Amino acid sequence: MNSSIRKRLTFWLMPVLLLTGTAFAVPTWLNVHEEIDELFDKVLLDAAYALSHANYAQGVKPDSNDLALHGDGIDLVSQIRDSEGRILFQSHPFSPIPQVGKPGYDTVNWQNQAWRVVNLKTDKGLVQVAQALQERRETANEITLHVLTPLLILLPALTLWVGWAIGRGLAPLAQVADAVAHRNPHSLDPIPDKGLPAEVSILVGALNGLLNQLNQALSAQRQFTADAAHELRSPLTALSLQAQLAERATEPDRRALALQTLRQGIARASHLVQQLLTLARLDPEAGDSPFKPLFLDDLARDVVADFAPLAANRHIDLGLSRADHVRVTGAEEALRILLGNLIDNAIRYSPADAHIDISVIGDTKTVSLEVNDTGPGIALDERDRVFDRFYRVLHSAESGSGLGLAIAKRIAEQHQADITLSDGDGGMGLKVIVTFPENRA
Amino acid sequence: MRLLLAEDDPMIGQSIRDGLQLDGFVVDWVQDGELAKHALSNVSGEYALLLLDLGLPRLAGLELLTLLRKSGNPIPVLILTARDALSDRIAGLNSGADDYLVKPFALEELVARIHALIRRSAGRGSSDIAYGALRINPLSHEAWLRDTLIDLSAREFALLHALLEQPGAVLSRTQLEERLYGWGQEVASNAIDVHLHNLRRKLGADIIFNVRGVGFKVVKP
Repeated sequence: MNSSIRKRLTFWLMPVLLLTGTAFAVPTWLNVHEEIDELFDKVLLDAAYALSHANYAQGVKPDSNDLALHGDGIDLVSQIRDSEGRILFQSHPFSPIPQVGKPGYDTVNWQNQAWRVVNLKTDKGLVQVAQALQERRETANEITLHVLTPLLILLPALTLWVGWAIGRGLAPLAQVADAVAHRNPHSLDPIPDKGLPAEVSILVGALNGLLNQLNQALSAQRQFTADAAHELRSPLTALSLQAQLAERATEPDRRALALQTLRQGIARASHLVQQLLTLARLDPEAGDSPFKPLFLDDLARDVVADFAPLAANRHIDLGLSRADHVRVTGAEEALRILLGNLIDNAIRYSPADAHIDISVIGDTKTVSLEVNDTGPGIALDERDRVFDRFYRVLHSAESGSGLGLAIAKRIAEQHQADITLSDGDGGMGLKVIVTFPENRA
Repeated sequence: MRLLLAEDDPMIGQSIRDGLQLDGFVVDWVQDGELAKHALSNVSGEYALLLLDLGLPRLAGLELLTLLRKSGNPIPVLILTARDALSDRIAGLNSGADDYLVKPFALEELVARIHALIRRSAGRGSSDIAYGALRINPLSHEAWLRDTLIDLSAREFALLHALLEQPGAVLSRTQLEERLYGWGQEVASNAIDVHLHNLRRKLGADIIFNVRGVGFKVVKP
């Protein structure tokens, strides 16, 4: 279950409020009782002294409605005994307050309740003044209640206030949650963090960073899909036109030629689809292929062997000119595609009788892979752009996918390798150099 | 009829050129915008129509079109492109294109649209071109004289078509050659004369009039 911050704060704050209330109320109550006891004890004693000096009718026993001695709203009862214990005076109609041995204050049980009694020995006899404890307690409680009333009102008000303050304090969070809820793949603009408290601002900053990344990834994806759809249209257009031409061709020679071009068109479309799939697989979201140590020269030998027939077909001399036995850590399949694309490009764009040399060079610091051809090369101002997806070199007779170098660059990036273009050895053609970060042999 | 095709994709360009040639068009094909601009400024009067791809290297299709219209060139322009978004189509037409065809398309539709555009630019409502008792249909490559179908070869028809584009206008031998033959096509020095001779034989000797030192025109039969 999700615990809410509001509940948590309430859980921690409410006991504090209650505790504060209790901590205030209980000592107050105890103090009031103590003070009241002291006060009334003095009142009892004063009354006893007063009685001892008073003239009173001997043997008077008032009826229950006419209590002789009233304090100021305080009900006191009193009686006087002589030295033999006979009642000389009593202010109440009941049986006498029991006599206790020792002088001073005492608590006795009389008339079915507890009484506080002061026993004052005088020359006239024993003066006793008593007050019901119940009455004292009531008075004490009343005073305590009066003292605590503001607190009793304040506590619930404070509780309400704390609840409101918590809500108020959490409002920015709710506001951010609302803003996040309104975001979707089509609207990923940053959440406004103006006027937000620092704590929430940090969260919003992090969220905005994430939104930004997501937005970039999504728009790259969208751009790629749009580009891919556009690029697929060209070979499809060519195919459809070529098929229509083949349909129309009546003479066998023309038909054969038309079918031949149609086949080339199909090969081109397949190549493009293949490259698109490769690129899609290389996307970071598609999951990482395992990296492991491998010998680059072995890989180069394999790939060169794969392309040898194609090169021979075009009368191009393809070979491995240097193969240092060095190791790199990488994804074998991806590296094959990388080198394959570079060689494929070199073959595609080089004229017959060109040379393509592959080198695997391991020195103390780095490992590099070079593909050097004697083809037409790439103009300086185009060298950056050829790595863009779907970019094709101007006036090339070949209709490639426009993805070969983009894929190569992507793979190089995944291996933290650098890929650079320069003039070929001897000033003609093109040299592609892939430099791996360190020699891990 | 001679068309200029500006298309950078070699396979598509070649197929369109071959296909249109089958339909009796003469197609000059360039692969970038600068070359297209160059061809238009030098041979402009002779092109009946420009087939324009938008994604051209060096000079993009729309820029070329804008330049063309700014310089007052009224040549009909048909855009051939893979960009099918509404905004692209509107931008294309607003830049001065006469029609817009999205790839991939059928050759038949391309041919039909080319004919429609040329017809419209000549201010005709029907695809038939009539001049007196002479009538031709550029779509079906048929010609009639007094409602009798005349059997013409492709070149003969093209020659008659060229002469009838602006009926009564005089076209020089060079102009006729330019309309009948594309770049790099070998033209025998007497080719036009041979076709003219055949036309006269089939339509009557006085149908084509030779303005000495100027060229040829069709006489209203």
